[in-house]
Amino acid sequence: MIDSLSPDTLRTRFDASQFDFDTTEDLPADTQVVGQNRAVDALEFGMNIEGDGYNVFALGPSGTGRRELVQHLLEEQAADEKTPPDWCYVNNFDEEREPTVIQLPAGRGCDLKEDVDDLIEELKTALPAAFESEEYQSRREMIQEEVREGEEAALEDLQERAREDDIALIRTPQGFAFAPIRDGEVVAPDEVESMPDEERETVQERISEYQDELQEILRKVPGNEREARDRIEELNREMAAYAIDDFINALRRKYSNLDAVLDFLAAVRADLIENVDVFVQAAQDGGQQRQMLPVMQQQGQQGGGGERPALDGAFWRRYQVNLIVDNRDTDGAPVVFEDNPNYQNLVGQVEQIAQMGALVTDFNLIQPGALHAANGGYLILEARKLLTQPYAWEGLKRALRNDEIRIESPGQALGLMRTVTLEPEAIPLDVKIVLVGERMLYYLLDALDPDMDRLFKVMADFEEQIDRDDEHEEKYADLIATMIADEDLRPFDCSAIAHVMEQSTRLVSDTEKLSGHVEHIRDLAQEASYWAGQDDADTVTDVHVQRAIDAQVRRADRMRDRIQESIERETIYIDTGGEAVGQINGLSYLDVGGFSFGKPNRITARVRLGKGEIVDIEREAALGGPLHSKGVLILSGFLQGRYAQRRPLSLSASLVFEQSYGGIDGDSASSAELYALLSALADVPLRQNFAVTGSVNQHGVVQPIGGVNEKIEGFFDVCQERGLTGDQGVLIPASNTEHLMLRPDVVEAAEAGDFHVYPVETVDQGIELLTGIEAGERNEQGAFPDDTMNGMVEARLRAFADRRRQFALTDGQAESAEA
Amino acid sequence: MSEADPSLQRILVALDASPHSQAALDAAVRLATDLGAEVEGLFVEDETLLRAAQLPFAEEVRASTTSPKALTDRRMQRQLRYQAEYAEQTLRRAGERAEVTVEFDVVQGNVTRELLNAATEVDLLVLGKTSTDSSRRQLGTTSRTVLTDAPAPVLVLREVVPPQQPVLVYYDGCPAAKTALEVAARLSRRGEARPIRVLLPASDDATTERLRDEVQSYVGDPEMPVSMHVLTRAESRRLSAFARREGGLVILPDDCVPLSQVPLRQFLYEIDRPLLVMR
Repeated sequence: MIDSLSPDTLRTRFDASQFDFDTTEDLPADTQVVGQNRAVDALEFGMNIEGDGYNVFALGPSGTGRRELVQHLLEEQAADEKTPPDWCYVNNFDEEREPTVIQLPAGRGCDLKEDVDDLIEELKTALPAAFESEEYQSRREMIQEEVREGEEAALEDLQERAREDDIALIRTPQGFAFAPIRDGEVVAPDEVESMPDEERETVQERISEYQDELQEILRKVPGNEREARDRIEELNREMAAYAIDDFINALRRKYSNLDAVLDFLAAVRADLIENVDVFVQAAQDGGQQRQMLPVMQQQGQQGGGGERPALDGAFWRRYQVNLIVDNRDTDGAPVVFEDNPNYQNLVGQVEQIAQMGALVTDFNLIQPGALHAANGGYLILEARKLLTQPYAWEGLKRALRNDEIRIESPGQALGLMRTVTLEPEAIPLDVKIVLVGERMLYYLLDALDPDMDRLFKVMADFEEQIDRDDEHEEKYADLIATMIADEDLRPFDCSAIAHVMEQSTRLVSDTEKLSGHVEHIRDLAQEASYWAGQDDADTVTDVHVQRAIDAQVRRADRMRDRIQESIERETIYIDTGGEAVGQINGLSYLDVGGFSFGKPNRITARVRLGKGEIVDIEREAALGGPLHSKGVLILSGFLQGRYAQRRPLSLSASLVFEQSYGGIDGDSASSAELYALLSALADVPLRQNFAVTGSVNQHGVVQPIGGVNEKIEGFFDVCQERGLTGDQGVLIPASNTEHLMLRPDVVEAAEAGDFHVYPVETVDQGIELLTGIEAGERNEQGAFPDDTMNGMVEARLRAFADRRRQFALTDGQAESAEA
Repeated sequence: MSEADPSLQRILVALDASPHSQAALDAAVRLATDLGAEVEGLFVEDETLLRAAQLPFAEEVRASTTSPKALTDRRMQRQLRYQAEYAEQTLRRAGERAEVTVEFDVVQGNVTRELLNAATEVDLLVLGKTSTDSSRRQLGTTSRTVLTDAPAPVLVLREVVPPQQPVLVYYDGCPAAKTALEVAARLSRRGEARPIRVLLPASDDATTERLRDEVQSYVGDPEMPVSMHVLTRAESRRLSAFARREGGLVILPDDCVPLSQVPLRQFLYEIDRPLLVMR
């Protein structure tokens, strides 16, 4: 008969005196991570290695502080790196659909934008002023006058010469006519009639000559006017250049080392000169047009080519600089965390505005995405969010594959839509992506997406458990201190830290480990600090920590309370004393919304003659999961192996979790089921003051299970409610001993001898405890002694086999008996 | 029209279908409103034209066609009739709008002669200055002759005067100058308080002072936005250029010094502002 575990093994105590500090105030509080060496090494490798595709996937359970840690490490690394350049989009004056991108040293992008805005402000007054000036007006008039006077002189000359020939040039409503005159008056028609033919012909001939000459003069008029227009245009260009060049040249000098900017300035100058008519028009309209229209008018996209743009706000937009990446205030390389990684937020977008019912856009409406902001640095994304956004994952991969950011709408990228929009020049991309996600996502992506291998070559795997040793404990304390400092909480004394670490161990159900789930620890610290505040305590002690834990449980345990109540009121039948055949207290483990607890379950077994099958009622009713079925099959394997070597296993047994109305899975009840079955076979009652957990293998070895603490506590709570009798206890697999981190009240009961935990290694040990009868081993003849459990089981099975053979001999009877 | 001015009650405007005639009409109607006068429109069917059209070999050269087109009497008559109808319509419409009494008359004959003839019966003659691009100088014979020979005051203009521009008046003390001043004052009072600039001839101080006093007492009303400017000799010689710079309507008495110094044709060409000659 094995002994129960000593109370001090039931809960691993952290000795507060091992810490060499009084409160967390004494700690440096600069620990961001403990025990994640594999992940940290991988991250560092990923950050430092050059080359395509060395992006990092930081995987691990959520709440382990992956994102914060990644961000912290990246920021540390990035601080020493080179600050990447600024990027601007400017108008492409040759092809407005494809805005040009300009790269500038960090900080100069903003300068350029401001300078160009200033330039526009200057030109807004300088250019129209140039065309309103006296000088321009008189030069323009002079040109027009010259042409006009040339024509008039020709006409005058013609008129003069005609007059000498007594021929007058007369204006008619639609043109000119020639008529012979005498004494300043047009000759009367009858006088012409009466002229001698010769004279008349002469007059007619002359008139005809003059008409030809006049025709020639008139024919030249359009040409002359065109020439005048050309000369005026030349003048306009000259005036514009004169007004612009001072400003432009000042900027040229300022940006003389940046060829792209010089090109842009040259393009602006050329375009201003080309559009000089706008300013001339504005000057002629007396500046009325200069009042800005509230709506932007897009040039080049609508209205077609020949139309002259109006001189309003929209006109000047074309010269602006759209600064999309401004690294003026960035120290080192940027580290960007995009909280909402949808397609547009990643690669940027071209916004549109509604104008007169149509959507229009221009390069000023190009909005940068996270990739722009992180270019030259690091971008952190959460994999789950990224994958739930349509096309975001594909968009990101495309940018990484092509090493450039091309702004397209998703519809455009997929080729579904071709609305008129912009196709901004692509920006070269040099960024390290760190995706943060659960393991499942990584493995799924790795299995299903062939690009994964190429684009995310580094995996940084985060542990949810941290090895417990002196160094880690020390760092863990400092990690808690860091949280306290970050969250500005009350200082924790060493007892509180010890208690937090005990809870951390409890969270991972392993006394050799600490929880890597920093979120839980942070919550606990926060709540403990709150309770300390309720007590007006300056420092947080273990009492507050325990109170925080109790409160957490209290908030979450409604379900457990209801179940305990049902057991108490005997709606759910659980015996905690007495004996019964084929009936045992199993323990199940429930997880409800992050809160887990154990509860006892009655398991019963019935046996009869049969053809060697064990019916798992849970499975038959489709309430049992595959692991549970497996446990039952192993159990029958054990029975066959141990008791049915020489004759067929002629039993039919059924196993059931009583009063279980939901699904059940896991094999942790298989030992309990086996005990119930053995009890039923041997017809020996089992003691109901025990509960049992543990799975069993085909050789009868009891194997560890999960949730051992909660299961023990579940039975303890029921017993305590009814009053501890002193002989109550739980049988657990011996290998679970190191996972024990029981509640202090359970440990106290154990210390008082009121409650026991038995480490069981084999089924034989368990059955001895439960029945008080020796299990028994095969003697030299290969038989179990009769008064042992095994002997009684084997005898029953033998009896079944014999009866079955008899049935087989008397054929009909056997059939009817079977049916 | 209780304030009707006995000196300027009938305004004659010479009409044809041209833009400058439209400007003349507008100016006439505006003046009539301001002065409480009535407008008479006169369309002259140019006898020279008619006669030229009757010539057996009459042909018309147009800017838009390559070869001359035969000109017939009937076509010319039809065109003139059409122009006259158009002119009448425009006049009546303008009159209705401004609530000014209008009359319209068509006569046939020599344009200048008919205008001078009609001018004997009116108080002011308004004339659009021919100003098509190719003939601004040469074909202004009509305006020139009318300006010199008409018995009534003559207003010549090319474009409508914007209402806020100042009125320039040359005052040298002669009776015509007094009338000029009175018209200016009247326009300013009735119109939207146009500023009046009185130009005084360059002279000895005593004369200038006398003229100044005369203007003061003549205008009387202290509210009137009147300013005075004594012309330098150079300005006086180049009054046309000066007036052109100052802008607005220019009122000169007939036979004043600046007018007599330059050929009228040149003066008209240079001034390029509405010019009202009082007599």
